[in-house]
Amino acid sequence: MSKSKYLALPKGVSEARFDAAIRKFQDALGADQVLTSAEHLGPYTKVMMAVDSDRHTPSAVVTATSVEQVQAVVKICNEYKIPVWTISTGRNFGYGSAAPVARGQIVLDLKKMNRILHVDPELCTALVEPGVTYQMLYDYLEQNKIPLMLSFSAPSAIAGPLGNTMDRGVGYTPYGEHFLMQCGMEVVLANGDVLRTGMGGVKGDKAWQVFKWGYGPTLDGMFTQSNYGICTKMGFWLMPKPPVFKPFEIQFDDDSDIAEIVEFIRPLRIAQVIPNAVVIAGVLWEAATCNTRRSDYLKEPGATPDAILKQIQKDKHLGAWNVYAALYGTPEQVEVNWKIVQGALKQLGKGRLITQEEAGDKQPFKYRAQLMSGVPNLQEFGLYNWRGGGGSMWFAPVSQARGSECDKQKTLAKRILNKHGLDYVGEFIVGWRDMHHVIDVLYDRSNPEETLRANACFAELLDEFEKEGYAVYRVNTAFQERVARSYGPVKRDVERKIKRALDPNGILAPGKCGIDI
Amino acid sequence: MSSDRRFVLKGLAAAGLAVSTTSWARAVWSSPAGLEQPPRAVTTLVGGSALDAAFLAGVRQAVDAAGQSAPLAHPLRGLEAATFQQLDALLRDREASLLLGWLDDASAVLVLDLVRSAGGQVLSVQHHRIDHDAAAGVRVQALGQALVAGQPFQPSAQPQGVAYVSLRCVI
Repeated sequence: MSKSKYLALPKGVSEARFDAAIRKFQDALGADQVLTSAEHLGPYTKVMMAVDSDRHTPSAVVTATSVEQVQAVVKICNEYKIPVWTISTGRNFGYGSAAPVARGQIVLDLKKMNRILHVDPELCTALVEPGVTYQMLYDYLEQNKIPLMLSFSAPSAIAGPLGNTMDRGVGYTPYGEHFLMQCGMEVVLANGDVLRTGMGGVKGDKAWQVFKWGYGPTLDGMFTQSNYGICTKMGFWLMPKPPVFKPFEIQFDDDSDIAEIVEFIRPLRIAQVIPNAVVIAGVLWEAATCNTRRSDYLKEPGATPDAILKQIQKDKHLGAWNVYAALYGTPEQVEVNWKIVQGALKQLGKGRLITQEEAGDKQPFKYRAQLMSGVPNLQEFGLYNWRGGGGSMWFAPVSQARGSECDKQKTLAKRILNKHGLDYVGEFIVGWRDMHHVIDVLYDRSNPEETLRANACFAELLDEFEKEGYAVYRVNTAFQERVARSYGPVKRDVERKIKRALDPNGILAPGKCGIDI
Repeated sequence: MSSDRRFVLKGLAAAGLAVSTTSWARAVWSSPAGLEQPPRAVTTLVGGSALDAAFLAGVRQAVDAAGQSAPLAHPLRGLEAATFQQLDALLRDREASLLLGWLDDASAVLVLDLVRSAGGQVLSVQHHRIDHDAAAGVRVQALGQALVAGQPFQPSAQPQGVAYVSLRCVI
């Protein structure tokens, strides 16, 4: 078999047929919007998952600048049966980066659709295109002196609201459950139709960004974490900047404190005394984000011993657990809630309370306070320097916001990670009644043996957590098929039927979240 | 150099990113596949490590050999968002440049993705593990020279060494 001039070909598509499709893409989009060279596709192939990059190599990258161009791409894909993987900013590093779920899919990069279409300072809403980053939106609000606040995930400056919300990501402000704050989508379907959800289909409507439900079935949710359409516009709600923002940290010295911490936080969170998505971060997470490398402490391979973790805790002035929360509101509201928090902590009888005045500009307090107040930054990428070598996979099981559950998950995760010679680098993000337990499985991807271990570790984490009734809310592209099985055959069957109905040729990201025709 | 580019570079330096640029008209350069003409400038990024000086010296030697002026360097101050914003603006400058980097993993991930997003080409990325011993400087200096010339270089693989990433891109 002769070697193809393409890095990869779509499954079942000959080179000659792909040549013809490429010509069609060039005609529709312009030649410079269609990339096929190894040097251009290389960065779209860079993944941090513990699998061979070859499994996620795209056949081409195309960029679109308008909804009409997205429709044209979909039409060509249907004609030539070319699978297409859409990205907005493509910076979901620990979940798969910009690479497609399967080898040979073309990447539709929407980075050039980056208009902030509307911000309403009175209704506190925004409507954006896929390529808009949080940093762009933040700059827009600042430049126009609009007193609204963003909520974003930690890679805030370079990630975008549309992509993060479509993947049901979370942030750290009172608006931290991003899909809850989404209002109105525009979606290009596989047949080229353009659907507007909620009130968006009503001629002359002005309520698209303020009323989520519209009439009849509410469809927005089925387009998130799925492959039923390509989202080209998204509306969402923004929080008014409060007169007073009071971030604080509470450090706890012992690893075993996690159960008590959760029991302490939950009632304050559910009652909205603390209104934001509180973080309970482990010592290694916090140390890594303030420039601590494993090689500073240890030359031996394997899991980092507890004694070293204690030493890092001491050296970096951290807790075994570090709780970050904030109060928002008028001076009177904040004063009352601050007294309630102090009283609850006194009753708990442990934990060191640290205010912004006490922390000053020190990391990691500084970046945590920024995240809770809607100021984008990149500090959390420091996690990648803990071990180095470019390996990172997020393991993110959901649990009840119950101390015993969180303790159980943490203990189970740490045991499995350590067994595979890796570290527990984790945090809990407190929703209202749930916990997003987020663990960064960090490993040296330049070391083939360690990469194999990390892959086995991730598979075991999924298996063992499932045995205890836990599943992840989101996962990297290498494990999406596996995780789909955790949610049961009936759900998968329904998803497949919807897929067949909406996308009979299966061109839109087949395999994403385990959904295919 | 365009005034826009000069402004961006000044901003990068002010933000603390070690960046140096030199005219590349006479330097040795073989055009990679897909490039119609070789870039006219070299931009170097380092992240504030103890081996930065050696890397920059290697780059400088190779560039000097082609009769170019010595670049200036400034340390990267952690993961400041402003630095990467400035870098993003530089990458989107129309003027082609060879981008060489000696960075930690976090910075490398960010830089490479900015290159992707700007439509740049990644010619090589290598992960290194290197002990900070007497030989390290010599080795990293040789790496800097090799990257300028586009020559193959066996990455350092001392298992318990400090992790670095070298990269070579065209933007």
